Amino acid sequence: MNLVHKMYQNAQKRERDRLMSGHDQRQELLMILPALILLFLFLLLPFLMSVELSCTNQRLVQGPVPTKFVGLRNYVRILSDPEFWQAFWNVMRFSLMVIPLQCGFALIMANFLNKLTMMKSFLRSLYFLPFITPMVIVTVIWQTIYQYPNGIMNTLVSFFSFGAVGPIEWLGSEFWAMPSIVLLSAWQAYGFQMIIYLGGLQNIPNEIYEAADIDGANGWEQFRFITWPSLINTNVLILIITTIQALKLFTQVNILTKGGPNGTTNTLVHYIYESGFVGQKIGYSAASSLLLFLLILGIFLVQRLSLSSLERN
Amino acid sequence: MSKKILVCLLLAVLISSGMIYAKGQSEEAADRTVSIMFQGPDTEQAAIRDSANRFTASTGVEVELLFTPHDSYTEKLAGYISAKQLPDVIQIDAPNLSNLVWSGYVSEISPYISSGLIDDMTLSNIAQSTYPVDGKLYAISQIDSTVLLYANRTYLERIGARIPTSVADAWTIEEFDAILDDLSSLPEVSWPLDIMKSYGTTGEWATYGFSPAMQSAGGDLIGRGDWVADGTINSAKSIEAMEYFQKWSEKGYLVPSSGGDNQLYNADRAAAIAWCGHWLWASASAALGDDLVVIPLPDFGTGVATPNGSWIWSITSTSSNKEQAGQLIEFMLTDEQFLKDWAAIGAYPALKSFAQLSPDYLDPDKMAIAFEQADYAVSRPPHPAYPTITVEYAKAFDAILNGTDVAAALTKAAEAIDDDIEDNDGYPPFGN
Amino acid sequence: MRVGQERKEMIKTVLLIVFGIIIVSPLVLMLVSSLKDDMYQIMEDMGSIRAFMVTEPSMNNYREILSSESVQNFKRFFLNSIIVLTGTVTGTLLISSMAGYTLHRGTLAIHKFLLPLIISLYIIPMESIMLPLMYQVMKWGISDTYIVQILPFIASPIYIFLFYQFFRQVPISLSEAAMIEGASFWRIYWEIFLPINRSAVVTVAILQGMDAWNQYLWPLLVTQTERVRPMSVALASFSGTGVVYWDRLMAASVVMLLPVLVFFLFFQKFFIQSVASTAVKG
Repeated sequence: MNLVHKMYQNAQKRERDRLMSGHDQRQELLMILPALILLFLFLLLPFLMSVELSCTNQRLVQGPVPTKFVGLRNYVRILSDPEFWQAFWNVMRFSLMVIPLQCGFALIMANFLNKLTMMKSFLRSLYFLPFITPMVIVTVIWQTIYQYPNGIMNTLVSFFSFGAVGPIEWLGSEFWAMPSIVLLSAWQAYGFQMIIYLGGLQNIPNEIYEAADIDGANGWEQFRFITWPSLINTNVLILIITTIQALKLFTQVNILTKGGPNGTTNTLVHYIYESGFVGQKIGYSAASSLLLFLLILGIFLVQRLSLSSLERN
Repeated sequence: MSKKILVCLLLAVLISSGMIYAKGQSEEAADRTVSIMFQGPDTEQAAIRDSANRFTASTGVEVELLFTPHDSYTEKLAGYISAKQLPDVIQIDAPNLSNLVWSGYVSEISPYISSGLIDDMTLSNIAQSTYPVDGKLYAISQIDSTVLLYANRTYLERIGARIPTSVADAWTIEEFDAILDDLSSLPEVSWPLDIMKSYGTTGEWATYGFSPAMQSAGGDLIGRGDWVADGTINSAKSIEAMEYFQKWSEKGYLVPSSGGDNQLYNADRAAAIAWCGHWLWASASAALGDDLVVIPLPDFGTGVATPNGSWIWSITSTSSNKEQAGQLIEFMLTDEQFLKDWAAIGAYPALKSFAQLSPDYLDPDKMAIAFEQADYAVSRPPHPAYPTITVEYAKAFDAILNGTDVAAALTKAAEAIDDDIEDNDGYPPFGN
Repeated sequence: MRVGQERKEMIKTVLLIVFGIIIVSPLVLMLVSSLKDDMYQIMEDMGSIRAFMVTEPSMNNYREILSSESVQNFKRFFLNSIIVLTGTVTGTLLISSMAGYTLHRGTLAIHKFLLPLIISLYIIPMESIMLPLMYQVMKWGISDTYIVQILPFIASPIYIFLFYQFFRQVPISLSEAAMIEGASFWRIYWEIFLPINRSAVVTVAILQGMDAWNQYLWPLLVTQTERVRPMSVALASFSGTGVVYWDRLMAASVVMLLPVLVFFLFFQKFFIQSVASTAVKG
C-alpha cells in the first residue's frame, strides 16, 4: 500500500516537473524574491550585526573608550551565570504549562464556535476579545485581579473553597508567580490559536460531517475520526508557533514581576532586555540573544524531527 | 466574489503606497530653530509645549518639539547619537547625566544660562546636575523628587508614637523599628509598612528608594572617590541598613508586591506607613485628608539621607545653536505660567522661585518636610557604570527581601559592578 | 428529533454566552474604570469588587482624550494607525502568501533549505535585533515614516509558514488539472490557491491586523514626531515615571480596542461567507 502510494507520488512529481517550464521558474523566483529581500534586510542583516556585536564590549551610548573585541568572553560569562540558567528553566516550565493549556482551550473553543447556528459572529468576537486587547492593558487589569488580599482571584478562591484556602499572594510568592503568569498569558493569547484552528476547521469539507451524521456518529466520534486527523497540518503549525512564542515570554513578566520574586519568573528575553536595555551592555545582550536563538533552534529541530515522523505515519 | 476581494486588495495597496510616499518632508534645521527632546505624561507635555509656544511668540525662534515616551528613552537617544542627529536640547533622567557627559554628548550649561537662574537652584538640583570629574554644571531642571514617609495619624496616635516635625527631628532607626513593632499589634493594621513592592523590587525603584538607607547608615552603593564598589556596598554599615529591611520582610511587616500601591489609603487602610515618592501625596491626601501625616525618612545612624533626581535639561555638545538652546531653557524655567502648570500637577520644586509658587510644598501641614529634604539629598552615583550599579543593587535588594544572606547578596553585587568597571578600563578619567 | 436538535443548539448557545461573559469579565473592569471621572477613585477601588462598579458613569474621560484641545492629537494618531495597519495587512497578504505558495509548489532547488531557514528566522526575538535595526533605518534615512513601520513586518516568517501549511491541504488534483490546461505558475496561485484558501487569507489578515495595531516598541523607536506616530505609542502618554493617569488610560484603551473589533467583525463576515460559498459549490 505504502509502496504503491509512493510510486504514484513519484509519477506525479515527474509529470509536474515536465509541465514546469523555464518560464515558470522565473515567475517562481519573482514571487519569492520580495519576501527574501525583506527578510534579509529586516531580520537576517540586523541579526548578523548582533552576532558581530556579541563578541565586543559595546555599550548602548558609545563612550570615549573605543569598543573592544573581547572574543567569547560574553558567552563564557553568560553560561557560567546561574541567573541565565534559572531563566532558562523558568522558560521551560512556562512553556510546559502554557502550551497545553492555551492550545487545548483554543481547540475546544474553536470546535464549539465553528458549527454554531445562532449568534455566530457575536460569539466569535466575544471569545476573541481578550486577544485584541493590548498586553499592556491586560497586565494592568490582571494586576488588579491578582491583588492581595482582596482581589477578585482571592475572592473566588476563598468562595469556592468555603474559606478554607486563605488569600494567596499570587504574584509575590515564589510558587504561585509563574502559574499566575501562565493563566494570564493563556487567557490573553488563546484567541490566536483559536483563529488558526477556526481557519483549519473551515478547510474540512462539510460533506464529511454530513456523511458521518447519516452513519450516526456522535460528536466525540466525529471529532476523533474526522476533525482531529484533518487538523494535522494546523496542529503542527500551532505547536511550532506556540512553542516559539512561549520561549520568547517577556512583556507580561516585565510589567508584572520584573523577573521576581527571587528570579522565579525571570525569562531569557527578560535577561536579554535587562542586560541590554537597562544595563546598557549591548554586546553582552547580543550574546545572550544568540544563545536564546540557538536554544530555540535546537528545540525546534527536535520538534520538527518528531513531528515529521508523526506526519509520515 | 474572489475577484472582488482581489480588487479590494489591489486598491488598498495603491492607497497605502500613495500614503507612504505622501509623508511629510522633514525640514532642515533652519537658523532660527531649536529642537528639544522630552518625555512625560500628557499634562507635563502640555506645560512644555505651551511654554515653547510662548518662547516662539516672544523671540521669533521656532521650536521643534520631539516628544519621546519615556520607555526606551535612552535607546532613542542612542539612535540619535548614532545617526548624528542629536537635538539641541535634551531632557535626561538625572542618573544618566554622567554617562552622557563622559561620552562627550552634553555641553557645560553655565555659559548659556544666567547666573541668577543658577543661584535659584536648590542644593539637590545642583547635586543632580553636576559632573563629578570637573565639578561643573551640565544641566538644570525646574523639578526634582524625593522619598518620604506617609503615615496614618490615627494609628500613630493610638500607639503613642512621636510625630517628627522637621528633618532634624527625624525618627532614629531604632525608634522607627519599635514603631513598626507597635503598629503590628493594632488589629486594623495588616502591614505596618508599605515600601511599594508593587513598583517592582528588581527595578530602578529599589536603588532610588532604598540605597539612601545605606547612605544614612554610613555606607553607600560605591566609593565616591575611588569608584570601587567592594568595601562600600558590602560594608558593615550598608549591611546593617539592609538587615532592617530583611527583618521587616521576615516578620511580615511589608505590604506584598501584589498588594498594589494603595493599601495606605484604600477603604481598608490596612497599611500604617508608606515609604514612597512625593507623587503619592495627591492620591493619599485626597483619600485620607487630615488623617495623613508626612514624616521624613528615618535616620539610620549618620543623619537622614534622601534620594533625589528627576528629568533635567541639557544642551548637547553637537548643537550648532547653543545660544538659543540656552535661551529656551532660561525662558521656560523663568516662565511663571510654566512653573504654575508644574505646580498644578504636584511637581517637586527644584528652584527656590518655583517653591514659592507651590503652596503645598511650603505648608507645614502638607509637604513642607518633603521640600526640606532637598537639603539632605544624596544623588545616585554620577558614574558611567550607573546602569550596571542599579541593575546589580536592585537584584541584591530583591534577594535580601526574599531571605538571601545580606552580606552575600551585596558582595555578589559588588563583584558584578567592579567587573563592569574593570571591563571598561575604569572608565577614565574616573578612578584616577 | 429536529426539535431536540434545536433545543440542544439553544442550550449550547446560552452556555457559550454565559461562559463568554466570564471570559471577558476582566475587560468589563477596563470599561467600568473608563467611566469613572475621578482618577483617585479608580485607585482606591482597585483590588476589590468595587472595581467592577460605577455609581456615576461619566463620559468625561472620553471627551478629554478626543477633544481638539488635548495635547494628544488623537485623530492624527488614529489615522496613522489605520494607514500602518492597511499597509501591513495588504503587504503581508501578498508577499507572504506568494512566498508560502512558492515554497509549497516551487521546483527551485533552494526551497528545501528556505523553509527551515525562514522558520528559524521567526525564532529571532525582536528585542534582540531591534537596536541594530534601528541604527540601520536611521542610517538609511527612513526613520519617522510610515514605510519603516510597515516593511519590516510584511515578509513574516510565521505567516509564510501559515500559508505554506494551509496550501499543503489543497488537493493536488486541482492544480494538476489547471496545469494541464496550461495555466502558469502565477495563475494557479492567483486563481486557485488564493481563492480556495480564503480562510487562510482571512486568518492572516486578522492576526496581522492585530499585530500591526498593537505594535509598540518598534514605532516607539523609529518615530520622532506626531506625523507618523501610531495610537499605541500615544497611549504611553498616560503614564509617566511616577504617575499613571488611570482614568484617561482606560478610556484611551477602549477607544483603541473598538476599531480592532470592527476590523475583526468585517473580516469575520468574509470568513462566514467563504464557508457558505464552499458549501454551495459542494
